[in-house]
Amino acid sequence: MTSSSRGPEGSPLRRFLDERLGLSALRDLIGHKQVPVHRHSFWYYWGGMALFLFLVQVATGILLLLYYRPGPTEAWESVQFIVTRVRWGWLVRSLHSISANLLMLVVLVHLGSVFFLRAYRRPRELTWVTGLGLFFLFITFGFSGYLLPWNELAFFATSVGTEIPRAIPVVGDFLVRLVRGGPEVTGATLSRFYGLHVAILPALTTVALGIHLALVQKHGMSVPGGVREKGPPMPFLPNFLLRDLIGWFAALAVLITIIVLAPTAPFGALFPFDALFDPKHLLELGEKADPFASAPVGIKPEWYFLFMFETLKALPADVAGLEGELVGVLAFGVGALALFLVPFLDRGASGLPPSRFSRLAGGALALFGLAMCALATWSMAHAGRWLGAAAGVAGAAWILGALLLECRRPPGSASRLVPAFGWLVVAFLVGMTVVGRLS
Amino acid sequence: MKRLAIAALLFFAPATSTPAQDAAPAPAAGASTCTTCHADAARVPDPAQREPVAAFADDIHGARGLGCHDCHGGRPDGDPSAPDAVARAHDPAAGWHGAPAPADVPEFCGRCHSDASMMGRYNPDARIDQVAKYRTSVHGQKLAEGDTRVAQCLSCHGRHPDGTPRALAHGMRAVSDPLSPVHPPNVATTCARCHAHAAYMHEYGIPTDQFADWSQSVHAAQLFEQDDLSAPTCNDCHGNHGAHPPGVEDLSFVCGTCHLRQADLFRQSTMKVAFDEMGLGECIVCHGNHRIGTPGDDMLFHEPLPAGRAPTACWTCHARAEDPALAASTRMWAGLTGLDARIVAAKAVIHEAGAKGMPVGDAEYRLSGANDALIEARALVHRFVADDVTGAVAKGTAVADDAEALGKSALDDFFFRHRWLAVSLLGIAFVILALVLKVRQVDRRWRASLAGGPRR
Repeated sequence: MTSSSRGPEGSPLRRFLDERLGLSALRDLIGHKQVPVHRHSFWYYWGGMALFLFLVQVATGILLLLYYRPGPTEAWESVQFIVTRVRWGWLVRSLHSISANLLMLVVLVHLGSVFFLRAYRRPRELTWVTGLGLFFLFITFGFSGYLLPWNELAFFATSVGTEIPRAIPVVGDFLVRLVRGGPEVTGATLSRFYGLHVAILPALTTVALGIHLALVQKHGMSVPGGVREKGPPMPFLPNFLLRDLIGWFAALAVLITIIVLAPTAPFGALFPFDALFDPKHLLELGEKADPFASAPVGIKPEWYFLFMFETLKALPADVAGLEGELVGVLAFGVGALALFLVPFLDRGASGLPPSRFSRLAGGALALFGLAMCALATWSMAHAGRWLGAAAGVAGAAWILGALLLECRRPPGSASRLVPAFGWLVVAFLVGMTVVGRLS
Repeated sequence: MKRLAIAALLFFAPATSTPAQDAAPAPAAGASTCTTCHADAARVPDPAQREPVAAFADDIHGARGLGCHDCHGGRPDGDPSAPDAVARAHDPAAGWHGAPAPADVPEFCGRCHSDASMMGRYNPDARIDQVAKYRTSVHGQKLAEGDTRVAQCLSCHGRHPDGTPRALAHGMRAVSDPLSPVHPPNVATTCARCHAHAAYMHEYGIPTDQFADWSQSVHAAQLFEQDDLSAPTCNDCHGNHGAHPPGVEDLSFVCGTCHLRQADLFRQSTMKVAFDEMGLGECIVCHGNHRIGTPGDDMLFHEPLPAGRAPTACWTCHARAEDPALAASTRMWAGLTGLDARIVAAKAVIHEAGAKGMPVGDAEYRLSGANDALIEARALVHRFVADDVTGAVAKGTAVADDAEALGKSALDDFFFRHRWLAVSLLGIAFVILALVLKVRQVDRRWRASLAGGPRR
């Protein structure tokens, strides 16, 4: 049974709406959407899961807006009011805070699955670009939202985070002042972050998400190269959507369980969330920010920023005549740009011969990776941290092995370089995050 | 005479009241004839006369750039090996004078320390009334009478190489220096060098147990255990430069310097009139003087008294069972201990809720109001009107009840959240189950439609 078979007939209300809004066309569009069925279909659900968690963010964010008051004299008090006095305020604030974290995790899994299944290949390059854009928007959402409760941790984490652009030559100081609205993190920063969090980012996200979903709708789900489908594609409506809903409800169950049980000690002992993700500290409001107080001991950013924090910390003060922090910031900038360019660099995934540019970029990336591994090995060995030195050697071996395999690749077969580098990056991100959490 | 030993350690010479710095140009403090000769055993064989040079390295005066001649005068500039160097350094015409006699020490120090323009060069806020106040003190009056055993400037500010009253002039430190004998934690020990010295104090006929008593007091505990430099030591009650024992009439003013509210209430009480008539010393009648213990509700008379307990401070005067003051005291005691217990109970509930991760800031803030009420009620005891105390207790009890109610509400909320979670998870599980069944159904229909069979 398809929606088109029902046609514009039905109840008078449906006919009224259909005549004015053209709902049957939309129904037909979704009704024709199909999802391939194969051994990697599981990864298709992560995009929908991210959408669900984003909708949770929107709904809870709007509810928080009813009570939240930006400003250094009111922000902390209003959040305290929300969690202590507003009926179900604790749940709304906790849902917003915890689902933001889970959203980052789900988006990362979605991004990784698209990357490793090479779903970005032609003609889905722009789907990848908009998706990656959404990822960076969510990161900015996380960074700007973290300051809004105006508590001690948020204040100092933002002070450290907004200091990073200062390493950029010429425009560094200007960027820091632009982000902070002054030389220091103050109420002006809070106003800026609030505007960014509730107006600018939602507007940009709405556009990016709209384009992303439209492109997904237009091109459909990508079937990974060399994967055999198990049968005819599954209708999106209702078969796939119902499965999506099961995942969404499961995510909701996980969310509310974390929210209610995380503050209690037995839960913390049962699930070692502290290793990476600490819901208890997300739920606690903590002390109000005091710019004149000293920074809390052991202050760390959210887990999804830890790799960056820890890398910048681990870099020596001077790298090849450049300031270590500048090298780190540039490396992350180049990495982000390279991610956007992946569909255009990895032409082999689309059955095209690699371009001269992608060969050069790949070679440069491999050389950069080898140089970083050599640097890590040297600095770790110098500091007597032999595990870190071994990781540097392993990373270099990985890169050289991937290059060797690429050289021996039979003509016409798909290149394994991109996934090999992808896994290396994943190993690096996870490694630095774990190091940051445990150090 | 031990005080005279101090003088023996300094240079023997007639004292002069002329400020030395007016008479001689200032040579560099570290390169004068004084320090050259008085550090040389060959030239100055007496170790006591060489000691000032070594000690002056730690002296506050040296640290401020002053040299020997700034106090002692003379012309210690020029080549120390010159034939006339010693004569120039000890030239009375250049204002030289050696160590002052003990009786002259206050005037000697006062030449600078009573000079506003001189002291203003080092500290614009420096006091210059020390000598004037000293003259009003018991020490100063006795010194004026010719008793050179009493304390003068050096006795307290000087360096004490042993535990005796003997003090050396050089190596004097700023009051803020923790090694100074008059830094707050050291004051009592400094006073005790004389005042706990039974032989030394014998001729004055005053007790020598003050230091031992004070050392066991709540004030000493605050100073040493809490590192609270504002906790009272000897000079906070007796004064320092103008030290004297407080009179009976002054006591509530002395204690009231810190305990303002209690002193004010006491002065409003009928007890003040009675104490004055009987010549009793106000605060110390109940609290003692040097050995002031931690005050507690049990200081009030109450019935029944715990077995083996003395009948409390009230009993000292109100030792008749039918005395209405004892009933009033029992009422105050019951109110205060009842509120204290109420606060402890509320705190336990709030703590339990907090330990369960519930926000209890409001409850804790409210409870602090009950604590304030308890403090106020305990202060009101000093007016000795039971109704005042019980009134404050009633207010505090109401606040403690509110705080406990907030704590219980947080606890109820905690359990409610868990019940809500259980119900929600059940509901979600039910929905997921229904969705799974629905998925099976739509999959069957889809596969059937693919096979061209009937839809079920």
